[in-house]
Amino acid sequence: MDSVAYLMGGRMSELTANLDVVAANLANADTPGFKRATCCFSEALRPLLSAADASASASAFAPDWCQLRTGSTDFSQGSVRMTGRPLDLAIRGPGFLVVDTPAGQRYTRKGRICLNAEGELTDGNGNRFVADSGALRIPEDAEDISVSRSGEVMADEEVLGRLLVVDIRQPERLVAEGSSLYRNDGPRAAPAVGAEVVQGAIEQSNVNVVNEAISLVQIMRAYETASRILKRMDALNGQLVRSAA
Amino acid sequence: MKAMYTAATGMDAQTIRIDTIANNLANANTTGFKKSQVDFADLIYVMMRRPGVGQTEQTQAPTGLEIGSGVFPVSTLKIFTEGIVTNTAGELDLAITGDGFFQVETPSGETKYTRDGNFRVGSDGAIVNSQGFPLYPAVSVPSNASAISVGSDGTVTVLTADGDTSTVGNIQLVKFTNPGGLSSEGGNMFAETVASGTPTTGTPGLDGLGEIKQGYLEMSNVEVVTELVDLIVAQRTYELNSKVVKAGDRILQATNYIAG
Repeated sequence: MDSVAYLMGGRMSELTANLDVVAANLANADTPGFKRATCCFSEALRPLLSAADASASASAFAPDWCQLRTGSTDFSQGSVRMTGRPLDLAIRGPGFLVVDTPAGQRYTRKGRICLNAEGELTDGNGNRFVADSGALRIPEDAEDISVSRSGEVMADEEVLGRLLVVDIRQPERLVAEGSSLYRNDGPRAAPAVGAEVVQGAIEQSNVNVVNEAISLVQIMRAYETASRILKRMDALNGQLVRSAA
Repeated sequence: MKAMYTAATGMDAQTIRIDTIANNLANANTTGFKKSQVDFADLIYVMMRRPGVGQTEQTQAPTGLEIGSGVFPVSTLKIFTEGIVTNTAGELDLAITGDGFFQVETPSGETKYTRDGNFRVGSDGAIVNSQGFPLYPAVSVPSNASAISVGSDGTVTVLTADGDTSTVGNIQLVKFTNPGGLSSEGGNMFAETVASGTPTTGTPGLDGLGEIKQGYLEMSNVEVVTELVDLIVAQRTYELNSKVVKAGDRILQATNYIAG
């Protein structure tokens, strides 16, 4: 009887964590370059003491706890929206732009470039984008800035350098650090093949609001069910206690 | 459970977006106005389980579990695309075709920058903008002038009543390395900041600066339809985030139900 109470308790606390994940996805439904987080549950089996024990009671197989085991980031392509801003870059296909932060190189899918006072290409927080020829600096008298599909930055037809677009071989080893930046804990990044830079466009969040809204309802109802079962369990226990008295 | 707080950051962010859209729409007909766009980024993550941590000696968890804390508005990006240039036939209606800003001097002696070329002649003969701030460097028109002409390079020539023409000054434009870093000062004017870099002054049409077109005004670069679509999206995103707060409330209610 107790196992049901614990199972439901565990389920309820994991559902709250799942709600947190859905809330973070929905809050970022409009964040450029955001990649949605997913999580899945797994049951933890009550340890079997022996084979004889297992045959004696079917409940030995019953899970008595439920865990939010793994979470992963869904790195699928978000839709690309044209903005017309020459310094908005979207990446089509797998690939990441690289920025230099005080803590080391970080990876991002958000190509919303801002210039700093020196004319260098930076992200919204002032971290410089990494290019093959060191820091890229847009000359002050440049009239027209264009970025080719391979990431070459040109000011008035003059090539300044190529923005680094890299492929992360194990995207599941990327750790989100906020501000659309990821740290790579896996093997070294290699130059990307098949990634294409689109100028004047931005990759939107890949959160599908319909799916998230469905998850929201599911979580809410599952939680209510679990709390009802727990309540019913408690009522049965109460009856038992009263009948014994 | 932090879902409700996460949703609150989402609602806050959308409110700021709606405020920006409202300002853009309110200025849909303001000459020389440049629209803004809010840029968002995700907040820090709470690591519940690290990826790559060993589960046994031989196996490692392929993925971790991290839970985000929501969203925050990073900056408002000013979009400096050119607005539509319309013919007004006004003598001192000046449009810049290309990059550059006019300079005006405020009464406190500061220089402000503007794309609004709606100039006129002040009571003392100086060319001033709609707020009455004189152009910098000052150009003054003699009282006996019957016509003013402004060349594409900024040369101001006047025709006097007795048929003489004379050059009375040159309008210069400035350019910034990072115009997005300028601060909006109201009155269609911008001010220099550390992020914008220092302005470089030059003759219109040279060094990457645009030319001056007399008799034209640059309209606002706000596209009303795009703003309205953004408004609808922002409103719906706000609503969805409010549903998360409601879901959080339902869950707390269900928790109370057990104890009740």
